[in-house]
Amino acid sequence: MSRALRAMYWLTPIIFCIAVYRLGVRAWFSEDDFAWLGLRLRVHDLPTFLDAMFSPKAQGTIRPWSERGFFMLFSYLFGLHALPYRLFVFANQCLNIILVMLVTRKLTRSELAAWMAPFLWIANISLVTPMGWTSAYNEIQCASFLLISFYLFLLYVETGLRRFYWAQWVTFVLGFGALEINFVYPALAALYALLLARRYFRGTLPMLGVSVAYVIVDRMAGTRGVTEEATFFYDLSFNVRTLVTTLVQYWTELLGVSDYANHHQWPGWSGSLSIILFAVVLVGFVGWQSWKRNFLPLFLLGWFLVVLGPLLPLHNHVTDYYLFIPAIGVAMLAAYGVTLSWRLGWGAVACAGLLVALYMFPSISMVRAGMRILYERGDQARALVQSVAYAKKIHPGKAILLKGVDDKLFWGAIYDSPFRILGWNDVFVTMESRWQIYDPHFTNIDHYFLQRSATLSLVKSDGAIVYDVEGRQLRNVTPLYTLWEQSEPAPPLDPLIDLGVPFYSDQLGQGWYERERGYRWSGQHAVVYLPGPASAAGKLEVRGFVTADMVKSGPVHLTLTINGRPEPVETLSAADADFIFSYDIPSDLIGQPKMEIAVNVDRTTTPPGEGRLLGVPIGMFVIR
Amino acid sequence: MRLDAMKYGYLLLAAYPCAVLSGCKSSDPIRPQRTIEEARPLASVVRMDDVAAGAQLLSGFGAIEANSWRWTGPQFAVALGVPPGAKQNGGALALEFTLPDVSINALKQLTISGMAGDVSLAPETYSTVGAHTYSRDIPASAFKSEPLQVRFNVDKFLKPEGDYRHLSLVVTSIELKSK
Repeated sequence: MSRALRAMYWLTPIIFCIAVYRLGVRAWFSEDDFAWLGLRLRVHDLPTFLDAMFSPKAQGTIRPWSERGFFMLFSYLFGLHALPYRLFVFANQCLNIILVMLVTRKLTRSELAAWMAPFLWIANISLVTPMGWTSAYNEIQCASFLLISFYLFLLYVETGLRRFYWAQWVTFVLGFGALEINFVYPALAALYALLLARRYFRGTLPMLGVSVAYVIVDRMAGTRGVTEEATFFYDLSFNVRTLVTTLVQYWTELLGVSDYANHHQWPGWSGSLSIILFAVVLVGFVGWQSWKRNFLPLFLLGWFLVVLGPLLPLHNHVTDYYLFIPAIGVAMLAAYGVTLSWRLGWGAVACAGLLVALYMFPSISMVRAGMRILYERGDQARALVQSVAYAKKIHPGKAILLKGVDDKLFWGAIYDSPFRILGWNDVFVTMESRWQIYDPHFTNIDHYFLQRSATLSLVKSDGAIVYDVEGRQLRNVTPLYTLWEQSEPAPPLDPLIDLGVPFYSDQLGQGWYERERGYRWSGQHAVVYLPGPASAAGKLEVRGFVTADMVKSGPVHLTLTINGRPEPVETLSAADADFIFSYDIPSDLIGQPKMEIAVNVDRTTTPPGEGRLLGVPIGMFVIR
Repeated sequence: MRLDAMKYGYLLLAAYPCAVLSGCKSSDPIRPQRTIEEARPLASVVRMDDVAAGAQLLSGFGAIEANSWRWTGPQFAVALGVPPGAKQNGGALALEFTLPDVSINALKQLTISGMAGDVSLAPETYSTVGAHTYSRDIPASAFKSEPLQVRFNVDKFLKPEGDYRHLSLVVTSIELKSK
């Protein structure tokens, strides 16, 4: 092969990848990206850095290289300029393509299979999310670690050189920093050894021990602080029927043709028939080759099942991009099958070609549609955040209220608080948008919406600018909105008082000190006003925290009264800890327009050099 | 020199730190996008397929669907520009909407009423599938100030399985004409 041909051989899959996913290069941030981009703001010193990098987050994930370190470093260097992040993700995927080619070539001894495998993988629908959404980069990085580890293992098997074995250990252990699914690597290596290099099987067992230990630690970390709703999504079921159903769902997802048929409103059987056809052909091929004592296809199918296997119990959380790494096994298997078809004559080649076409064309079509959706989601987020940046620049010191926010925009661009990354805590959605936004009750979303009385007080005092979301732009509609608000009947009291923002002063009575960062200190006695609950189920929730100074001389007792009636006394004794107290509300106050809530503490503290008599710092009162 | 796969791999690996180190720390964390600060002249006809008319939809409207219509909740309000002559001669208000099968099947009939400024709009009941117009004359006395704020009330709403919204009407346009 000439040098130019050789270069084309390695570069064509990369060019194909860039051509198919080119929208991903220009994709902006959305959803979870903003939460990761904001992580750096919590880092002030070494302990907070270590906490940000390594403490388990939602569902016990750690991922220091692929999420925390990646986002913290890039947000430090590039802020909210997405292109460098995207180029890095694409560069990593190019590396994966080369690795898939290397591994396939080593396994199949076929240049053709090595060239075809990345094409089949790139066309897979499971690549859409990782290639279009930066928060799913962890899949791409984890694939790199797995492929490098496995390639090193193959080199070790081929040469017997221990340095490859130990190098594989290093990449395997580092892979845990990318994604939890890395723990399947020893099973992949063990399966390969068992089927194709039995002499090396024992060498894979110590790694299994590391994976088991990791899983135990991860599970212990993952069950802490998980909400009931999140538990539903991450519920594990080991029922065989459920596992098989989930496997079928993933298999259907993997092949894309079913999605394509639905998208084009083809008869339901057409998609199902294609799925069954692919399953029969691939499993038949594996069975036939195994019968001929060629266990490589069995291993490649095993790759798919081994990597996907741990995800099958998550039956309520079937997610397209979980197939990103399992799909590599199927791509290599299919490429190998096509290669072998050459030995069976033109009829077999034609059948293989037809099957490849039946997979590739619908899949690429769905990939392109998926990339368009992701691109537009990010683009909407970009337009919103950049427009708010402009509004903040030309209206310094004013709150920004966003009108006309729909469900997609809220969850894609607002929920993960992009504005806080830029230091703006006073960007809210107007209450009119609330009815359009689906609330899955993962967490409370009330604080994203400025209640009507606070809105009215702000617009009347010229403290806010109201923008309507007009496609990709924001239009200043403050005068019209102010007129509307003023013409509406006087709003009732808000059921939520956030003491960390200035808009609720109308509902504060006596006894409060100036607003500080997210809270206000009460004096020994302080009062707020809230409406009565809408139903008997309504409870009053009070959120605050306890400083070390407060409890230096012993516990502080907090007494709360509702319209003069005392509630149970709470004892504040743990220093530097948040508290949330929930109180029953007397039934005769249901539906009342106003209740007086009084907070009393039995002892105050006075910071050195100050004259203030501080009771307790409180962040929020809310009727739930 | 023969560029083999490993060399491509090494090149890509080397590109990682280079990509990171080549970026100098950005002084401007975000590139602002201009907002439209100028108020749009208030239209007396608000078509739901017009993104720019969204500013006049005061409350109770959903997002644009199929580039042509919006669902409304059971209460919705709009600000309309006053057409020439309406202050003297009064005006005519027309709410164009559709009742889909799903609404009539579930709700049987819906009654719409409203307020244009301080003037009550008489209710009307609809019980058939398809396109309808809720039309009312608006007396000149209603046009005390501009814009004219019109509030609509619908007595029933759908809460379809899998949807979280209260859905009353599929509105296509709201129009105010001078008489």
